Amino acid sequence: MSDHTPTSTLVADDLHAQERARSAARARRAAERERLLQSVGIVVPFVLVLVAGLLFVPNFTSGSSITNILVNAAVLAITGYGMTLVIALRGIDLSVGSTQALSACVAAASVNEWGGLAGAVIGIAVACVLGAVNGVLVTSLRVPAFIATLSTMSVFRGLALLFTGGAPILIASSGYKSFATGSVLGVPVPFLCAVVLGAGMWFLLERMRFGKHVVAVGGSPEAAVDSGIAVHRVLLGAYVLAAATAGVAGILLASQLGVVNGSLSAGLELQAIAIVVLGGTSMAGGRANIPGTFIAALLLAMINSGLNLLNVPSFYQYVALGGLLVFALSLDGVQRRTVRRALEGRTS
Amino acid sequence: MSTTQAPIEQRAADQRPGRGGSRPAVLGFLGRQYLLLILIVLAAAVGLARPAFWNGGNLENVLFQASFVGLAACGMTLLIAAGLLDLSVAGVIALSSIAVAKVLPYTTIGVAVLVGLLVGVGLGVLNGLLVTYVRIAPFIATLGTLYLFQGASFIWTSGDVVPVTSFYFRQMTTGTVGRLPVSFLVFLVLAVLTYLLLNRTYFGRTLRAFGSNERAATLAGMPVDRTKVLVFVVAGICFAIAGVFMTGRLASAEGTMAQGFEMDVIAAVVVGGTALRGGRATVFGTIVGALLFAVLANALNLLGIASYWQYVVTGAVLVVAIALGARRRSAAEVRGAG
Amino acid sequence: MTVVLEVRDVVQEYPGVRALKGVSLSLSPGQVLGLVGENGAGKSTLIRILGGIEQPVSGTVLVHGEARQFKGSAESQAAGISVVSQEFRLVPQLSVADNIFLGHELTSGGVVARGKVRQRAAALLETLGMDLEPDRLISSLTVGDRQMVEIARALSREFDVLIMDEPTAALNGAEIRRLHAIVEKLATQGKAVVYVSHHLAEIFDICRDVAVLRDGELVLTAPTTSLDETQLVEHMLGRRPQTFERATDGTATDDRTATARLDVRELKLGGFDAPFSLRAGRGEILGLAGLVGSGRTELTRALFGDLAALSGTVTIDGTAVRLGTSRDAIRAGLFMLSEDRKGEGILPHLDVTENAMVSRERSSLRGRARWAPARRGEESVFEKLRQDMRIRVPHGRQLIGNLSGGNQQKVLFGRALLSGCKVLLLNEPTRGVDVGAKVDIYQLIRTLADDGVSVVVSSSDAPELAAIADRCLVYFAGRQVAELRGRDVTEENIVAASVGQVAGGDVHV
Repeated sequence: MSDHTPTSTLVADDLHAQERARSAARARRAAERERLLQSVGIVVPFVLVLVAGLLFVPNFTSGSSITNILVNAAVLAITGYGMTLVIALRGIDLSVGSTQALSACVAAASVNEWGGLAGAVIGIAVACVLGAVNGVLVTSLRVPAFIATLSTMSVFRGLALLFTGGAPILIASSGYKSFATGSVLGVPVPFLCAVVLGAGMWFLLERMRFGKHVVAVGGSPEAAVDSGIAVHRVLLGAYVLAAATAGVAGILLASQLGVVNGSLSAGLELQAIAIVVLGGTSMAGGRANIPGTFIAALLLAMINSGLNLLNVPSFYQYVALGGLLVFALSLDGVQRRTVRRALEGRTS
Repeated sequence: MSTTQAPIEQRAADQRPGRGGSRPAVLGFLGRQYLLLILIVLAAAVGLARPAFWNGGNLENVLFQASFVGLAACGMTLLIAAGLLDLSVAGVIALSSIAVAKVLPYTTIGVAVLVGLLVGVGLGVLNGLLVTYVRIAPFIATLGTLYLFQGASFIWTSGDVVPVTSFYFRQMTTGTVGRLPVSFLVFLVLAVLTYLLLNRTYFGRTLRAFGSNERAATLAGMPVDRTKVLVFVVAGICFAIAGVFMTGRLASAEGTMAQGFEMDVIAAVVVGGTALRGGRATVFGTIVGALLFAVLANALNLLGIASYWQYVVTGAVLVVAIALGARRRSAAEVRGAG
Repeated sequence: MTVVLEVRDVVQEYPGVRALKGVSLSLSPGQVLGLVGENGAGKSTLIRILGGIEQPVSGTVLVHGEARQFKGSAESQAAGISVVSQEFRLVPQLSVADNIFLGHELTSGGVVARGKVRQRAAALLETLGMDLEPDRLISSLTVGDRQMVEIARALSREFDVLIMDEPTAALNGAEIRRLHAIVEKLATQGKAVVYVSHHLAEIFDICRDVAVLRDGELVLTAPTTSLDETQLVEHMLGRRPQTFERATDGTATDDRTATARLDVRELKLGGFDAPFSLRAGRGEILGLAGLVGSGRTELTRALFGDLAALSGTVTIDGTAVRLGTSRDAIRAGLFMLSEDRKGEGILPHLDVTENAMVSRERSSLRGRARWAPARRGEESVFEKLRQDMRIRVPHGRQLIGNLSGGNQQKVLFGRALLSGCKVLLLNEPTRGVDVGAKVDIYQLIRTLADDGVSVVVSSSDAPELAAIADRCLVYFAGRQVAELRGRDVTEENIVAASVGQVAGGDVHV
């Protein structure tokens, strides 16, 4: 290290300064591209669907239609928040629909037995237990998330059907039913719940220690382990939260419908994944976007409602959903590739 | 069956690290016996509780059930060995079966079956392209296409059932040779072909290679993307074959005919001992796994247990099998570190 | 003298390898201990054990005289051990400040105190002489800056013992000097420092004592003043360092370059301003040296079609090569072995024969052989490889995952050989390979070159390049800063040029 000439060191420092400036510029470009693609992915479809709805769908702006959209969006968004967390951790929860069904059914039965508040609490508690089962499978038993939750999707669905015996459960308490059908200043209560929960979830992810750990575990699991983060605890917490949000949404849904059965929310997992990915949360982990999830939930609710109002057979909704999911996922892939390219310094 | 069994055991023996000689071969054999043992014990227990289990008609039922799951599971075995997965089984089966049922009145049985298989090929290509060129994770891409295919089949049939009236078609697909259903024999033949494809061809080597380590396979210059699409295509054909036999058995085709079937198929493969992480597979295990699930379902049925329990049992068995496999593998990984 | 950290008879085993064979070591406050040894001597294993990432098979670790068993890095950190790891363990999606305090966030009631975090992070970076916005994302930093953030992170914790695993591998001259000053300051504050480095000059500069690991055993602990560099190397190798038995001298090299086999012209890569140009002759072993981030790895990857090149031409024996995919590259006569053998080399579930055969040229095959491999034929081909390369494996059906690093590497060399390549690109060919196999691999490289293959060796191991390369190009921040030929290819010249100090050789800036 000893004998160096000042001139060569100068050259070296110069080269380094250049390299630094370049990498900063690349990062700026990557961030710009990412923002652009995210807005293309969610804002543009949102505006398009909104305009199309306003122009072509009769009664799109009627009071009942708007309430319908907002309530549906709320249920989707609340489920989506938990899914956002799990996907940001490179996981997945396919059992949200079944979890929602089981907790809504248990909640409905409990409401009839012990009253509204007790029913809601019991329903959410059941959801948390189911989430803990998922979490333990994924962490302690090391089962890959998608297959663990695929299995529990089947198990929880079976349990929900067994619990109800295949018959619907009618909720007798009118007080409980009025909760989700009520509104404050014209805004449906479930929608307000979704906004409040979304704000809470955003704060958890952006401002709290848990959120930093979620990004670390999702972005670079090795780094998280080396930093002494209890990775298993973070994962377990996320799966419990995912199930809990599904449960909360289930309780609101039960309250709104007034009647639940064992096959409630079948196929919900696909809608939840679609809105999360469309909202800008990457399947590659490390990036969570709660506001995006919220907007995407509104978008999906508008599409569903629009197709209903146009009397399109429900089969086409399957196809629309499948198409939306594929669109969101390909966009996620494109976005990741573009950002990587920008970081590598390729301009094309 | 003995022809498939011997080489598989040979491989299993070789996979045990650090020990030479005949001991690992014996251990490998016992390892397989334990699954067979469960099958035998289960069958015996069910037979004891409900002697009706041993009726010719019931056994035939079990074999039919096993062959539907097994035919599809052959394709799934290849996919899982390649580190892939296809959740759209039910959609592929529904669409190809509907295709068969729709064209059957206008043409010969051969052409109808061929059309069904071609539908399987087409849907396989679609899945494969989504996974390779659009770069969507296999389980989520095929979850999307599951809904897409089911939606398409509802639209095609307007939600109705498409009946099959062709007597010969039904006779062909539901007939028996001796006591064995034709479909079961086809399943065994397909299993042998799957084994050969997996272990004796460059195609099989490539798929095991990228199932084992995709980056390494790419850097070794192997045609990873092309082979991935092909694996989905082969799997699509397997699913379509299963669909043809199911159509014959049901004498009809409809959108919901195979709903939830993907769980049974994946469970049969995984319980059979094929690890989800890819890189290797046991076709013999898949055969046993398919039989195991058929016996289990039949037992639940005979014992008069609510059909909803099947959801619970299938899911639980699947997750337990994977958890046990993960435990075994993690022990092996610790030894293989560094 | 008090002892802050003590290691007693620590043994660690991997399959087929005893990585540590009973190592004992102690550290007192204010001591700076240099830890040296060849690749694979067990340094990293020891560090992973101290950091709580691995648990030893037997033996104890004592902190302040108390036996501890770390079940994870959190416990090791709580005991006052802070590690700067060799691999970058940063989260690209988080900011510099968040990364520094990851795992020990400054919070009140679970809420991150953002102002305080930013302030403390800025202060830490300041002491390291870094002018870096704490809010910048890690993904936007250069490799050198990331290394400094890694160091800042280790310093941000409460610690009594700081372990630095090759902290200077990605730093330039000025940064290295700043780091040395910090280490000295820490020592005067009474912290114990374990400093691992390949650059022996560094060890003599800043360490009071030096410990030498060789094949998993601690062979020496002594004050640095009692030794000189030659003696230290002797202890590391366990024999007198052979001055390189170079088969060629400068003139022969010139002849080889004249008949260029690989010719790279103005190859432009993303992230590097200056284009890369190089020529490698038939039968020449060309070394590429440089720090992490200097561009040499990216260059080999781009040649092999694994990284997109923006412009430029590559020809092999005068024929232009289409830069696209690895498959195209192999067809054109290139082959690359990655530095990450486990992640990008071996196919762990396949046996050694299949592993060696996967890149074999088979376009000339016809009929059944075209889609189904002939078992007998492959077995005999592998048998020949096994004997030629001295691969230690009981039979060809052994899974490759269970072999030692050296034997895995030999199988991969077999793969390259069977691909029929004309140009072989090697990245860190002997990383994680034991000493015996290393010699075999050097011989293999030489044999391949003698058969006319151009071998391009990219390595961070300067002695390795000094031992085998006919000619060596040194890169710094994406530019070729030196070309060393024949007798000029020495460890000192390579190291000096790679940290940005040019000494000897042709200068190209």
